[in-house]
Amino acid sequence: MGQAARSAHRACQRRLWADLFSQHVCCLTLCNADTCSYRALSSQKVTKVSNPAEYCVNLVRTYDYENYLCCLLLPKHVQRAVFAVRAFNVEIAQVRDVVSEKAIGAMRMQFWKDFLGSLGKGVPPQTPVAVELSGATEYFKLPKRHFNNIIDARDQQLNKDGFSTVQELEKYAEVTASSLHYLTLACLGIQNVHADHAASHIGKAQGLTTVLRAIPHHAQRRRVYLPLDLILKHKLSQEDVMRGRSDQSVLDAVFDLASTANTHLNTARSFTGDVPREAHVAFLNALPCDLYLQRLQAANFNVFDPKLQVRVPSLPLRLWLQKIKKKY
Amino acid sequence: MASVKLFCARASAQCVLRNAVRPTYVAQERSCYKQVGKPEPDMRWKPIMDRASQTVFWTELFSGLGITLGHIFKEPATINYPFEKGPLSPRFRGEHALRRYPSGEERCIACKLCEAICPAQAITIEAEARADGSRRTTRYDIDMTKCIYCGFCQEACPVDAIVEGPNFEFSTETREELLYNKEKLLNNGDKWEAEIAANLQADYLYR
Repeated sequence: MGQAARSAHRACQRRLWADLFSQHVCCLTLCNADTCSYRALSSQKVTKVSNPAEYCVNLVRTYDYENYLCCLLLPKHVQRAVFAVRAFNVEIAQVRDVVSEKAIGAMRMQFWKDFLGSLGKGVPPQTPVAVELSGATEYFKLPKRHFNNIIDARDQQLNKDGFSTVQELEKYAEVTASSLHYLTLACLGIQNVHADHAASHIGKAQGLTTVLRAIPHHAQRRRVYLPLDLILKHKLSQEDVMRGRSDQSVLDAVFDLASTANTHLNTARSFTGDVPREAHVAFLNALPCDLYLQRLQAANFNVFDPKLQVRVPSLPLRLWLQKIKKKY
Repeated sequence: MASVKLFCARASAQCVLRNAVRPTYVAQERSCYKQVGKPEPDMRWKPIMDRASQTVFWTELFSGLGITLGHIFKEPATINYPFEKGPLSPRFRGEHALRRYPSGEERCIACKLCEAICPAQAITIEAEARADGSRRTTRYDIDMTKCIYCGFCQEACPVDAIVEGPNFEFSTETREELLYNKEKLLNNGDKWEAEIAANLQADYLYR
Protein backbone atom coordinates (compact mmCIF):
# COMPACT_ATOMS: atom_id res chain seq x y z
CA MET A 1 0.00 0.00 0.00
CA GLY A 2 1.51 3.25 -1.15
CA GLN A 3 2.08 6.52 0.70
CA ALA A 4 -0.87 8.14 -1.09
CA ALA A 5 -3.14 5.30 -0.11
CA ARG A 6 -2.08 5.61 3.52
CA SER A 7 -2.73 9.33 3.64
CA ALA A 8 -6.10 8.77 1.95
CA HIS A 9 -6.92 6.22 4.59
CA ARG A 10 -5.86 8.62 7.37
CA ALA A 11 -8.12 11.30 5.93
CA CYS A 12 -10.94 8.82 5.79
CA GLN A 13 -10.39 7.75 9.38
CA ARG A 14 -10.19 11.33 10.59
CA ARG A 15 -13.53 11.96 8.96
CA LEU A 16 -14.91 8.83 10.61
CA TRP A 17 -13.79 9.83 14.05
CA ALA A 18 -15.19 13.30 13.45
CA ASP A 19 -18.43 11.59 12.50
CA LEU A 20 -18.46 9.78 15.79
CA PHE A 21 -18.54 13.01 17.64
CA SER A 22 -20.90 14.84 15.32
CA GLN A 23 -24.38 13.45 15.06
CA HIS A 24 -23.91 11.59 11.80
CA VAL A 25 -24.41 7.97 11.03
CA CYS A 26 -22.17 6.33 8.54
CA CYS A 27 -23.31 3.02 7.24
CA LEU A 28 -19.94 1.47 6.62
CA THR A 29 -19.33 -1.46 4.42
CA LEU A 30 -16.24 -3.04 3.21
CA CYS A 31 -15.11 -2.19 -0.28
CA ASN A 32 -12.30 -3.66 -2.26
CA ALA A 33 -10.97 -0.38 -3.59
CA ASP A 34 -7.24 -0.41 -2.93
CA THR A 35 -7.15 3.23 -1.87
CA CYS A 36 -8.93 2.70 1.39
CA SER A 37 -10.46 -0.30 3.07
CA TYR A 38 -13.12 1.67 4.85
CA ARG A 39 -15.49 3.89 2.93
CA ALA A 40 -18.56 5.71 4.07
CA LEU A 41 -21.35 4.67 1.74
CA SER A 42 -24.22 6.73 2.92
CA SER A 43 -24.75 9.08 5.76
CA GLN A 44 -27.96 10.28 7.25
CA LYS A 45 -28.90 12.43 10.19
CA VAL A 46 -30.56 10.60 13.06
CA THR A 47 -30.85 11.33 16.75
CA LYS A 48 -28.67 8.46 17.95
CA VAL A 49 -25.08 8.11 16.79
CA SER A 50 -24.28 4.67 15.60
CA ASN A 51 -22.03 2.92 13.16
CA PRO A 52 -20.23 -0.39 13.47
CA ALA A 53 -17.03 1.28 14.73
CA GLU A 54 -18.84 3.10 17.47
CA TYR A 55 -20.82 -0.01 18.34
CA CYS A 56 -17.52 -1.83 18.97
CA VAL A 57 -16.25 1.06 21.11
CA ASN A 58 -19.44 0.97 23.19
CA LEU A 59 -19.23 -2.78 23.56
CA VAL A 60 -15.67 -2.57 24.91
CA ARG A 61 -16.57 0.36 27.16
CA THR A 62 -19.48 -1.54 28.69
CA TYR A 63 -17.89 -4.92 29.16
CA ASP A 64 -14.15 -4.27 29.34
CA TYR A 65 -13.71 -0.79 30.79
CA GLU A 66 -10.00 -1.00 31.60
CA ASN A 67 -9.03 -2.09 28.12
CA TYR A 68 -11.31 0.60 26.74
CA LEU A 69 -9.21 3.21 28.58
CA CYS A 70 -5.99 1.61 27.31
CA CYS A 71 -7.30 1.56 23.73
CA LEU A 72 -8.13 5.27 23.93
CA LEU A 73 -4.45 5.98 24.62
CA LEU A 74 -3.28 4.13 21.49
CA PRO A 75 -2.30 6.13 18.40
CA LYS A 76 -5.41 7.30 16.53
CA HIS A 77 -4.79 5.32 13.36
CA VAL A 78 -4.85 1.93 15.10
CA GLN A 79 -7.61 2.65 17.61
CA ARG A 80 -10.44 1.55 15.40
CA ALA A 81 -8.80 -1.76 14.52
CA VAL A 82 -7.82 -2.49 18.14
CA PHE A 83 -11.35 -1.72 19.30
CA ALA A 84 -12.61 -4.21 16.70
CA VAL A 85 -10.23 -6.87 18.04
CA ARG A 86 -11.22 -6.14 21.66
CA ALA A 87 -14.91 -6.22 20.76
CA PHE A 88 -14.37 -9.63 19.18
CA ASN A 89 -12.70 -10.73 22.42
CA VAL A 90 -15.69 -9.46 24.43
CA GLU A 91 -18.07 -11.45 22.23
CA ILE A 92 -16.07 -14.65 22.57
CA ALA A 93 -15.28 -14.27 26.27
CA GLN A 94 -18.92 -13.84 27.19
CA VAL A 95 -20.10 -17.06 25.58
CA ARG A 96 -19.53 -19.26 28.66
CA ASP A 97 -21.42 -16.91 30.95
CA VAL A 98 -24.33 -16.41 28.56
CA VAL A 99 -25.16 -20.02 27.82
CA SER A 100 -26.59 -22.66 30.14
CA GLU A 101 -25.72 -25.65 27.94
CA LYS A 102 -22.31 -26.38 26.46
CA ALA A 103 -23.89 -27.35 23.12
CA ILE A 104 -25.33 -23.84 22.74
CA GLY A 105 -21.92 -22.33 23.53
CA ALA A 106 -20.36 -24.60 20.93
CA MET A 107 -22.89 -23.33 18.39
CA ARG A 108 -21.96 -19.71 19.09
CA MET A 109 -18.27 -20.56 18.84
CA GLN A 110 -18.94 -22.30 15.53
CA PHE A 111 -20.58 -19.13 14.22
CA TRP A 112 -17.42 -17.14 14.94
CA LYS A 113 -15.21 -19.94 13.58
CA ASP A 114 -17.20 -19.90 10.34
CA PHE A 115 -16.82 -16.15 10.22
CA LEU A 116 -13.04 -16.44 10.63
CA GLY A 117 -12.99 -19.11 7.95
CA SER A 118 -14.75 -16.83 5.51
CA LEU A 119 -12.62 -13.80 6.45
CA GLY A 120 -11.47 -12.05 3.31
CA LYS A 121 -13.87 -14.03 1.13
CA GLY A 122 -17.11 -12.31 0.21
CA VAL A 123 -19.32 -10.21 2.43
CA PRO A 124 -18.93 -10.76 6.19
CA PRO A 125 -22.08 -11.34 8.28
CA GLN A 126 -23.64 -7.92 8.79
CA THR A 127 -22.97 -7.64 12.48
CA PRO A 128 -20.82 -4.68 13.57
CA VAL A 129 -18.07 -6.74 15.19
CA ALA A 130 -17.68 -8.96 12.12
CA VAL A 131 -17.75 -5.99 9.74
CA GLU A 132 -15.17 -4.05 11.75
CA LEU A 133 -12.95 -7.06 12.27
CA SER A 134 -12.88 -8.00 8.60
CA GLY A 135 -12.10 -4.37 7.74
CA ALA A 136 -9.26 -4.26 10.27
CA THR A 137 -7.87 -7.65 9.21
CA GLU A 138 -7.85 -6.60 5.59
CA TYR A 139 -6.28 -3.20 6.18
CA PHE A 140 -3.59 -4.14 8.68
CA LYS A 141 -3.07 -7.66 7.26
CA LEU A 142 -3.55 -9.12 10.75
CA PRO A 143 -2.49 -12.77 11.02
CA LYS A 144 -5.60 -14.94 11.21
CA ARG A 145 -3.94 -17.61 13.33
CA HIS A 146 -4.19 -15.43 16.47
CA PHE A 147 -7.96 -15.22 16.14
CA ASN A 148 -8.14 -18.95 15.51
CA ASN A 149 -5.95 -19.62 18.55
CA ILE A 150 -8.15 -17.47 20.79
CA ILE A 151 -11.33 -19.13 19.65
CA ASP A 152 -9.88 -22.66 19.85
CA ALA A 153 -8.58 -22.10 23.41
CA ARG A 154 -11.91 -20.67 24.56
CA ASP A 155 -13.82 -23.45 22.84
CA GLN A 156 -11.71 -26.10 24.60
CA GLN A 157 -12.19 -24.31 27.91
CA LEU A 158 -15.94 -24.26 27.27
CA ASN A 159 -15.92 -28.07 27.13
CA LYS A 160 -13.46 -28.62 29.94
CA ASP A 161 -14.53 -25.92 32.41
CA GLY A 162 -11.42 -25.78 34.59
CA PHE A 163 -7.64 -26.09 34.59
CA SER A 164 -5.65 -29.08 35.83
CA THR A 165 -2.31 -27.33 36.31
CA VAL A 166 -0.96 -23.81 36.66
CA GLN A 167 0.98 -24.38 33.42
CA GLU A 168 -2.26 -25.15 31.61
CA LEU A 169 -3.79 -21.95 32.95
CA GLU A 170 -0.69 -20.02 31.85
CA LYS A 171 -0.96 -21.50 28.39
CA TYR A 172 -4.64 -20.56 28.20
CA ALA A 173 -3.79 -17.05 29.42
CA GLU A 174 -1.05 -16.72 26.86
CA VAL A 175 -3.35 -17.76 24.01
CA THR A 176 -6.31 -15.63 25.06
CA ALA A 177 -4.62 -12.48 26.42
CA SER A 178 -1.22 -12.40 24.70
CA SER A 179 -2.77 -12.97 21.28
CA LEU A 180 -4.61 -9.67 21.73
CA HIS A 181 -1.24 -8.00 22.44
CA TYR A 182 0.30 -9.63 19.35
CA LEU A 183 -2.60 -8.29 17.30
CA THR A 184 -2.17 -4.79 18.78
CA LEU A 185 1.53 -4.95 17.92
CA ALA A 186 0.65 -6.10 14.41
CA CYS A 187 -1.67 -3.09 14.05
CA LEU A 188 1.14 -0.80 15.24
CA GLY A 189 3.40 -2.45 12.66
CA ILE A 190 5.97 -3.57 15.23
CA GLN A 191 7.83 -6.80 14.58
CA ASN A 192 10.27 -7.26 17.42
CA VAL A 193 11.15 -10.40 19.29
CA HIS A 194 11.49 -8.54 22.62
CA ALA A 195 8.09 -6.91 22.19
CA ASP A 196 6.57 -10.34 21.52
CA HIS A 197 8.37 -11.75 24.55
CA ALA A 198 7.01 -8.97 26.75
CA ALA A 199 3.53 -9.49 25.27
CA SER A 200 3.70 -13.16 26.15
CA HIS A 201 4.57 -12.50 29.82
CA ILE A 202 2.12 -9.63 30.24
CA GLY A 203 -0.63 -11.77 28.72
CA LYS A 204 0.10 -14.56 31.18
CA ALA A 205 0.03 -12.12 34.10
CA GLN A 206 -3.28 -10.74 32.85
CA GLY A 207 -4.82 -14.16 32.41
CA LEU A 208 -3.84 -15.22 35.94
CA THR A 209 -5.12 -11.92 37.37
CA THR A 210 -8.42 -12.34 35.55
CA VAL A 211 -8.87 -15.78 37.11
CA LEU A 212 -8.18 -14.33 40.57
CA ARG A 213 -10.45 -11.37 40.01
CA ALA A 214 -13.32 -13.49 38.80
CA ILE A 215 -13.24 -15.91 41.77
CA PRO A 216 -16.18 -14.22 43.59
CA HIS A 217 -18.16 -14.00 40.34
CA HIS A 218 -17.62 -17.65 39.50
CA ALA A 219 -18.15 -18.72 43.12
CA GLN A 220 -21.67 -17.29 42.92
CA ARG A 221 -22.29 -19.56 39.94
CA ARG A 222 -20.68 -22.50 41.77
CA ARG A 223 -17.63 -22.76 39.54
CA VAL A 224 -13.99 -22.73 40.54
CA TYR A 225 -11.27 -21.97 38.03
CA LEU A 226 -8.29 -22.29 40.37
CA PRO A 227 -5.95 -24.91 38.87
CA LEU A 228 -6.46 -28.37 40.38
CA ASP A 229 -2.78 -28.87 41.29
CA LEU A 230 -2.92 -25.70 43.39
CA ILE A 231 -6.07 -26.96 45.09
CA LEU A 232 -4.41 -30.27 45.88
CA LYS A 233 -1.19 -28.64 47.04
CA HIS A 234 -2.97 -26.47 49.61
CA LYS A 235 -5.58 -29.16 50.42
CA LEU A 236 -8.42 -26.71 50.03
CA SER A 237 -11.92 -27.80 49.15
CA GLN A 238 -13.71 -26.20 46.21
CA GLU A 239 -16.72 -25.82 48.45
CA ASP A 240 -14.78 -23.34 50.61
CA VAL A 241 -14.10 -21.19 47.56
CA MET A 242 -17.71 -21.41 46.42
CA ARG A 243 -18.97 -20.34 49.84
CA GLY A 244 -16.59 -17.39 49.88
CA ARG A 245 -14.69 -18.53 52.97
CA SER A 246 -11.29 -16.97 53.30
CA ASP A 247 -9.51 -19.79 55.12
CA GLN A 248 -5.73 -19.89 55.26
CA SER A 249 -5.63 -22.56 52.52
CA VAL A 250 -7.65 -20.31 50.15
CA LEU A 251 -5.40 -17.35 50.94
CA ASP A 252 -2.32 -19.50 50.27
CA ALA A 253 -3.60 -20.69 46.90
CA VAL A 254 -4.49 -17.12 45.91
CA PHE A 255 -1.07 -15.96 47.09
CA ASP A 256 0.63 -18.62 44.94
CA LEU A 257 -1.27 -17.63 41.83
CA ALA A 258 -0.82 -13.89 42.48
CA SER A 259 2.91 -14.29 42.93
CA THR A 260 3.15 -16.26 39.68
CA ALA A 261 1.35 -13.38 37.95
CA ASN A 262 3.66 -10.89 39.61
CA THR A 263 6.72 -12.86 38.49
CA HIS A 264 5.48 -12.68 34.89
CA LEU A 265 4.98 -8.92 35.19
CA ASN A 266 8.47 -8.45 36.62
CA THR A 267 9.98 -10.64 33.90
CA ALA A 268 8.25 -8.54 31.26
CA ARG A 269 9.54 -5.37 32.91
CA SER A 270 13.09 -6.68 33.22
CA PHE A 271 13.77 -6.11 29.52
CA THR A 272 11.91 -2.82 29.12
CA GLY A 273 15.03 -1.33 27.52
CA ASP A 274 15.07 -3.85 24.67
CA VAL A 275 11.42 -3.30 23.71
CA PRO A 276 11.03 -0.53 21.10
CA ARG A 277 9.61 2.65 22.64
CA GLU A 278 6.61 2.82 20.33
CA ALA A 279 5.57 -0.68 21.47
CA HIS A 280 5.19 0.41 25.10
CA VAL A 281 1.78 1.90 24.47
CA ALA A 282 0.48 -1.56 23.50
CA PHE A 283 1.28 -2.85 26.99
CA LEU A 284 -0.57 -0.17 28.96
CA ASN A 285 -3.06 -2.72 30.26
CA ALA A 286 -0.31 -4.25 32.38
CA LEU A 287 -1.02 -1.36 34.76
CA PRO A 288 -4.60 -2.30 35.79
CA CYS A 289 -3.32 -5.84 36.28
CA ASP A 290 -0.45 -4.60 38.46
CA LEU A 291 -2.81 -2.33 40.43
CA TYR A 292 -5.11 -5.23 41.13
CA LEU A 293 -2.22 -7.35 42.41
CA GLN A 294 -1.10 -4.50 44.68
CA ARG A 295 -4.61 -4.05 46.04
CA LEU A 296 -4.88 -7.80 46.54
CA GLN A 297 -1.70 -7.69 48.60
CA ALA A 298 -3.10 -4.77 50.62
CA ALA A 299 -6.25 -6.84 51.23
CA ASN A 300 -4.04 -9.66 52.54
CA PHE A 301 -4.83 -11.90 49.52
CA ASN A 302 -8.49 -12.15 50.41
CA VAL A 303 -10.10 -12.15 46.95
CA PHE A 304 -13.55 -11.80 48.47
CA ASP A 305 -12.76 -8.37 49.89
CA PRO A 306 -15.49 -6.07 48.47
CA LYS A 307 -12.94 -3.27 48.09
CA LEU A 308 -11.29 -5.24 45.29
CA GLN A 309 -14.47 -5.19 43.20
CA VAL A 310 -14.70 -1.40 42.80
CA ARG A 311 -13.09 0.59 40.02
CA VAL A 312 -9.96 2.60 40.71
CA PRO A 313 -11.06 6.21 40.11
CA SER A 314 -7.54 7.40 39.33
CA LEU A 315 -6.98 4.72 36.67
CA PRO A 316 -7.41 6.98 33.58
CA LEU A 317 -4.90 9.50 34.96
CA ARG A 318 -2.40 6.82 35.91
CA LEU A 319 -2.67 5.17 32.51
CA TRP A 320 -2.02 8.54 30.87
CA LEU A 321 1.02 9.16 33.09
CA GLN A 322 2.27 5.68 32.20
CA LYS A 323 1.94 6.55 28.53
CA ILE A 324 3.84 9.83 29.01
CA LYS A 325 6.59 8.03 30.95
CA LYS A 326 6.76 5.41 28.16
CA LYS A 327 6.76 2.53 30.61
CA TYR A 328 4.63 -0.54 31.11
CA MET B 1 -54.45 -76.43 56.82
CA ALA B 2 -51.07 -77.51 58.15
CA SER B 3 -49.67 -74.04 57.54
CA VAL B 4 -52.50 -72.40 59.48
CA LYS B 5 -51.80 -74.67 62.37
CA LEU B 6 -48.12 -73.82 62.28
CA PHE B 7 -48.94 -70.09 62.31
CA CYS B 8 -51.24 -70.51 65.27
CA ALA B 9 -48.61 -72.42 67.18
CA ARG B 10 -46.04 -69.70 66.55
CA ALA B 11 -48.46 -66.96 67.65
CA SER B 12 -49.23 -68.71 70.91
CA ALA B 13 -45.53 -69.31 71.53
CA GLN B 14 -44.86 -65.58 71.12
CA CYS B 15 -47.67 -64.80 73.54
CA VAL B 16 -46.19 -67.10 76.13
CA LEU B 17 -42.73 -65.63 75.69
CA ARG B 18 -44.01 -62.07 76.02
CA ASN B 19 -45.82 -62.92 79.24
CA ALA B 20 -42.69 -64.56 80.55
CA VAL B 21 -40.48 -61.46 80.11
CA ARG B 22 -43.13 -58.96 81.20
CA PRO B 23 -41.92 -58.77 84.83
CA THR B 24 -38.51 -57.54 83.60
CA TYR B 25 -40.00 -54.55 81.63
CA VAL B 26 -38.85 -51.12 82.81
CA ALA B 27 -41.57 -48.50 82.27
CA GLN B 28 -40.56 -45.00 81.16
CA GLU B 29 -41.27 -42.43 83.84
CA ARG B 30 -43.18 -39.34 82.66
CA SER B 31 -43.14 -36.38 84.98
CA CYS B 32 -43.22 -33.26 82.80
CA TYR B 33 -46.83 -32.79 81.66
CA LYS B 34 -48.14 -29.77 79.77
CA GLN B 35 -51.78 -28.72 79.85
CA VAL B 36 -53.06 -28.26 76.33
CA GLY B 37 -56.78 -27.75 77.04
CA LYS B 38 -58.45 -24.60 78.28
CA PRO B 39 -57.37 -23.93 81.90
CA GLU B 40 -59.99 -23.88 84.59
CA PRO B 41 -60.99 -20.26 85.34
CA ASP B 42 -59.60 -18.98 88.61
CA MET B 43 -62.63 -18.50 90.84
CA ARG B 44 -61.08 -16.15 93.44
CA TRP B 45 -62.60 -12.68 93.70
CA LYS B 46 -59.79 -10.63 92.12
CA PRO B 47 -59.54 -12.63 88.84
CA ILE B 48 -63.34 -12.66 88.60
CA MET B 49 -63.36 -8.85 88.90
CA ASP B 50 -60.61 -8.56 86.25
CA ARG B 51 -62.56 -10.65 83.78
CA ALA B 52 -65.76 -8.75 84.45
CA SER B 53 -64.07 -5.38 83.93
CA GLN B 54 -62.53 -6.58 80.62
CA THR B 55 -66.00 -7.42 79.38
CA VAL B 56 -67.63 -4.20 80.68
CA PHE B 57 -64.96 -1.80 79.33
CA TRP B 58 -64.55 -3.60 75.89
CA THR B 59 -60.77 -3.78 76.38
CA GLU B 60 -60.28 -6.52 73.74
CA LEU B 61 -62.46 -4.65 71.27
CA PHE B 62 -60.33 -1.51 71.62
CA SER B 63 -57.01 -3.33 71.37
CA GLY B 64 -58.29 -4.98 68.15
CA LEU B 65 -59.30 -1.58 66.80
CA GLY B 66 -55.82 -0.32 67.71
CA ILE B 67 -54.24 -2.98 65.48
CA THR B 68 -56.58 -2.01 62.65
CA LEU B 69 -55.60 1.65 63.10
CA GLY B 70 -51.91 0.70 63.05
CA HIS B 71 -52.35 -1.04 59.68
CA ILE B 72 -53.74 2.17 58.15
CA PHE B 73 -50.31 3.77 58.62
CA LYS B 74 -48.38 0.70 57.42
CA GLU B 75 -47.22 0.13 53.85
CA PRO B 76 -49.87 -2.00 52.12
CA ALA B 77 -48.93 -5.61 51.45
CA THR B 78 -50.70 -5.59 48.09
CA ILE B 79 -49.97 -3.69 44.87
CA ASN B 80 -52.43 -1.99 42.56
CA TYR B 81 -51.67 -4.55 39.84
CA PRO B 82 -52.35 -3.30 36.35
CA PHE B 83 -50.88 0.09 37.30
CA GLU B 84 -48.13 -1.15 39.59
CA LYS B 85 -45.99 -4.21 38.87
CA GLY B 86 -44.01 -6.43 41.17
CA PRO B 87 -40.23 -6.73 40.87
CA LEU B 88 -38.92 -8.83 37.96
CA SER B 89 -35.55 -10.56 37.68
CA PRO B 90 -33.30 -9.25 34.91
CA ARG B 91 -33.12 -12.85 33.73
CA PHE B 92 -36.91 -13.14 33.42
CA ARG B 93 -37.90 -14.82 30.18
CA GLY B 94 -41.09 -13.33 28.82
CA GLU B 95 -42.38 -12.34 25.41
CA HIS B 96 -39.92 -12.57 22.54
CA ALA B 97 -38.52 -9.57 20.71
CA LEU B 98 -36.16 -9.01 17.80
CA ARG B 99 -33.71 -6.22 18.54
CA ARG B 100 -32.23 -3.61 16.24
CA TYR B 101 -28.89 -1.86 16.29
CA PRO B 102 -28.99 1.79 17.40
CA SER B 103 -28.67 2.67 13.69
CA GLY B 104 -32.09 1.12 13.08
CA GLU B 105 -30.77 -1.89 11.17
CA GLU B 106 -32.12 -5.19 12.42
CA ARG B 107 -29.62 -7.38 14.23
CA CYS B 108 -30.74 -10.74 12.93
CA ILE B 109 -28.39 -12.10 10.27
CA ALA B 110 -30.38 -15.26 9.56
CA CYS B 111 -27.82 -17.71 10.93
CA LYS B 112 -30.72 -19.97 12.02
CA LEU B 113 -29.02 -21.07 15.25
CA CYS B 114 -32.19 -20.25 17.22
CA GLU B 115 -34.27 -22.34 14.84
CA ALA B 116 -31.85 -25.24 15.26
CA ILE B 117 -31.68 -25.12 19.08
CA CYS B 118 -35.42 -24.56 19.74
CA PRO B 119 -36.57 -27.75 21.55
CA ALA B 120 -40.25 -27.04 20.79
CA GLN B 121 -39.54 -26.22 17.13
CA ALA B 122 -41.52 -23.03 17.52
CA ILE B 123 -39.29 -20.88 15.28
CA THR B 124 -39.48 -20.81 11.51
CA ILE B 125 -36.98 -18.80 9.46
CA GLU B 126 -36.65 -18.16 5.77
CA ALA B 127 -33.75 -16.11 4.53
CA GLU B 128 -32.30 -14.67 1.37
CA ALA B 129 -29.42 -12.40 0.41
CA ARG B 130 -30.17 -8.74 -0.10
CA ALA B 131 -28.96 -6.62 -3.00
CA ASP B 132 -25.95 -5.43 -0.94
CA GLY B 133 -24.87 -9.02 -0.30
CA SER B 134 -25.97 -9.25 3.35
CA ARG B 135 -28.13 -12.17 4.45
CA ARG B 136 -31.39 -11.25 6.12
CA THR B 137 -34.56 -13.05 7.09
CA THR B 138 -37.62 -12.70 4.91
CA ARG B 139 -39.71 -14.62 7.39
CA TYR B 140 -39.21 -15.01 11.13
CA ASP B 141 -42.16 -16.66 12.85
CA ILE B 142 -42.49 -17.82 16.42
CA ASP B 143 -45.45 -19.91 17.45
CA MET B 144 -45.98 -18.62 20.99
CA THR B 145 -48.37 -21.48 21.73
CA LYS B 146 -45.57 -23.99 21.11
CA CYS B 147 -42.83 -22.01 22.88
CA ILE B 148 -41.77 -23.37 26.25
CA TYR B 149 -39.82 -20.22 27.26
CA CYS B 150 -36.56 -22.08 27.87
CA GLY B 151 -34.47 -19.14 26.63
CA PHE B 152 -32.24 -21.30 24.42
CA CYS B 153 -32.90 -19.07 21.40
CA GLN B 154 -31.49 -16.01 23.15
CA GLU B 155 -28.53 -18.02 24.43
CA ALA B 156 -27.75 -19.36 20.98
CA CYS B 157 -28.01 -16.02 19.16
CA PRO B 158 -24.45 -14.82 18.40
CA VAL B 159 -25.59 -11.23 17.77
CA ASP B 160 -28.13 -10.88 20.63
CA ALA B 161 -30.94 -10.38 18.12
CA ILE B 162 -33.68 -12.62 19.52
CA VAL B 163 -34.28 -12.04 23.21
CA GLU B 164 -36.95 -12.97 25.71
CA GLY B 165 -37.95 -9.60 27.06
CA PRO B 166 -39.49 -8.67 30.41
CA ASN B 167 -43.07 -8.50 29.10
CA PHE B 168 -45.40 -11.13 30.52
CA GLU B 169 -48.72 -9.54 29.60
CA PHE B 170 -49.40 -10.62 26.05
CA SER B 171 -52.57 -12.65 26.37
CA THR B 172 -54.80 -12.55 23.33
CA GLU B 173 -58.38 -13.38 22.52
CA THR B 174 -57.61 -15.74 19.65
CA ARG B 175 -54.96 -18.35 19.05
CA GLU B 176 -53.95 -16.83 15.71
CA GLU B 177 -52.72 -13.68 17.43
CA LEU B 178 -50.11 -15.79 19.24
CA LEU B 179 -48.44 -16.81 15.97
CA TYR B 180 -45.91 -13.97 15.89
CA ASN B 181 -44.34 -12.82 12.67
CA LYS B 182 -41.20 -10.77 12.09
CA GLU B 183 -43.00 -7.42 12.11
CA LYS B 184 -44.61 -8.11 15.47
CA LEU B 185 -41.28 -9.27 16.94
CA LEU B 186 -39.43 -6.20 15.67
CA ASN B 187 -42.16 -3.97 17.10
CA ASN B 188 -41.72 -5.72 20.45
CA GLY B 189 -38.00 -5.03 20.22
CA ASP B 190 -38.59 -1.33 19.59
CA LYS B 191 -41.05 -1.15 22.47
CA TRP B 192 -38.89 -2.93 25.05
CA GLU B 193 -35.37 -1.98 23.88
CA ALA B 194 -34.51 0.13 26.95
CA GLU B 195 -35.42 -2.63 29.41
CA ILE B 196 -33.78 -5.37 27.34
CA ALA B 197 -30.51 -3.43 26.97
CA ALA B 198 -30.43 -2.72 30.72
CA ASN B 199 -30.99 -6.40 31.52
CA LEU B 200 -28.12 -7.55 29.33
CA GLN B 201 -25.50 -5.42 31.12
CA ALA B 202 -22.48 -6.93 32.86
CA ASP B 203 -19.67 -4.88 34.34
CA TYR B 204 -16.41 -6.75 33.91
CA LEU B 205 -14.97 -9.36 31.61
CA TYR B 206 -14.56 -12.50 33.69
CA ARG B 207 -12.56 -14.62 31.28
